[in-house]
Amino acid sequence: MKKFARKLGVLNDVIAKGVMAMGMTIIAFSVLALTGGAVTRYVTGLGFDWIMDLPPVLMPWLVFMLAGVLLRSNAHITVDFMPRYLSDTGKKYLSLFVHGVVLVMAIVFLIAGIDAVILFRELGQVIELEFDLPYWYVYLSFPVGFGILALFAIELLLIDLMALRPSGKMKKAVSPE
Amino acid sequence: MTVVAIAASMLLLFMAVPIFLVFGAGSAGAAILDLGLPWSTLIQVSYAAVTKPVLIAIPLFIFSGLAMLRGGIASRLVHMTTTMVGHWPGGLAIGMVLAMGFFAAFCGSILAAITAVGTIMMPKMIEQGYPAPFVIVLAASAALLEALIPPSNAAIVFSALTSVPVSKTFAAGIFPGLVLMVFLMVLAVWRCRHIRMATKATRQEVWKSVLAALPGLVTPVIIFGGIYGGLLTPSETAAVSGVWAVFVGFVIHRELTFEGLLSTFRQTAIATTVIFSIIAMAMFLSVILTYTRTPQEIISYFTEFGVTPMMFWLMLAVICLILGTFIEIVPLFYLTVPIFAAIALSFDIDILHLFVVFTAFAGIGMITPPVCVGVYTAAGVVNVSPEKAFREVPAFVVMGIVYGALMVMVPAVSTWLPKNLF
Repeated sequence: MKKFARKLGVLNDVIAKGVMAMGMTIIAFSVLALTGGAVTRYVTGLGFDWIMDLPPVLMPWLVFMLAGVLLRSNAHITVDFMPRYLSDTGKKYLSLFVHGVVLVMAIVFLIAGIDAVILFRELGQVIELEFDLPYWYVYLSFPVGFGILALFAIELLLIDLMALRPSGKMKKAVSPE
Repeated sequence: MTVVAIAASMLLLFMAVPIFLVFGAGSAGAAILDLGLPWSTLIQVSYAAVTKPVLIAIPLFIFSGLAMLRGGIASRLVHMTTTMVGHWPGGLAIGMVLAMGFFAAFCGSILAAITAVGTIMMPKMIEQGYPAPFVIVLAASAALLEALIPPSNAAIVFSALTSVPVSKTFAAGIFPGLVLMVFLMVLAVWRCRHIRMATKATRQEVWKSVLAALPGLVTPVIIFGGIYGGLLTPSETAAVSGVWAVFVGFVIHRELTFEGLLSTFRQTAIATTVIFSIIAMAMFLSVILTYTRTPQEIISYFTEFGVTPMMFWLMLAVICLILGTFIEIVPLFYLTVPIFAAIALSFDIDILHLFVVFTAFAGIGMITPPVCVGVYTAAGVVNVSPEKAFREVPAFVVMGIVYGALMVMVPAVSTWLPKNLF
């Protein structure tokens, strides 16, 4: 289990770096696209609508992809009410439960997302920007994002299980910083 | 089944499952098992929420705020306010409120403001003899200012939910934000009247600090001039202010490094994901509300029992205070605004008045334990246990309730400016 957890950790490190780079690129593109769009509108009298329409459409590729990375770094908003009243062992069991719940949900959303992407691909609907962008290109971020979330949840579950062993120690979560 | 889903969601919420998944699991469970809706509908709605053009302003304002923090704009702003009022009784506390107010007008991120202003001011205040718990809660109460003074993320989310133009929601928050600053300053002076800095800054020092802060002070001109001059959309304004902050940080102050810029992008991506993941999943709930006609049923229930607008405000205040204690302001908006907005309209209440009152009461919840991110963040800045700060919370809660009641009684504070501006 230790070996598998280590290998999965290495894979997840690579994924985390990749999706973080993608998220940062989307933010940088959004800042430049909207500023550039506004400036060119005033300078040339023409706006590049498609550039300005693109940032909102890219948001799902930022949000769903990074959801797993944030789970790993414990950056999501949670109501940490119960952990305050638990012993260290209780906290470990709670962490195991939470990551188990996250894994189940991630798998459910992954399957639902795949079904939805297949459906929308068959329907052939497009987002009408200056160019036609198939909806499923955007919807694809849902199953991919929840697939990544599932991978991170498995890694955290393994860490929780190892921490529950008699001599186990909880590995500190990796910060996206 | 809906009741079971709600109960299970509450349980998961208190067991520290991430809020976005609690929303997703509870709402999707009820929608699919009870209403028989297909996944594709839920996913469609979720995407429609995340890709709303108005919401792109949120990451861009967060980026702008973080770039100002790293580029030295925030530190110069804090220096300016402390130079101006530091020698007054409770002067540094007043300076912090003013700096928070200024910073609120630059960016929409609560935690960025606490970090930006708090990191510089809080250690200085504690060193000067201000009680650490008071300083922490005062910094955390910036949550209220940030939510009201434009450009605020809360206003953008409210606009996305109610289809009110962002420019109007921004305008609605200006006077209530200024009134709140006065409330906070009065409380600060009353609590710390015996503390003041020994030396008063000379007129030359004051001017020097103003000149140093000047590039940063251009930002509100870009934001408000851009939006209300009809030159830019709120999203463009956010992007332009971000580029301006980067320019000032790199070229004028020369404090922003390439690594700092990359870190700003990284932190923006993280903060955006935290907010947008909740928005994406919370929209499942709105589907249930629409299909079950819950808002309409509540309205007819209210009409049947002769509920008056004042009783509605009272209920709203209590619900916001209780829920705000456990849930952050963005999920709280998604959880309750669709219902509150429908009821407010049935009472002929201005929707912008609702925004201000709702934010005022929900904001109080953000400084009340057990869930008070603002207090935890501020306490982390000065390495003090948050529990120690809790004893200062009641005074701020009382002030917040008086402030909220004032906002209920005087709707013109919220509605006068948007009505006269447009």
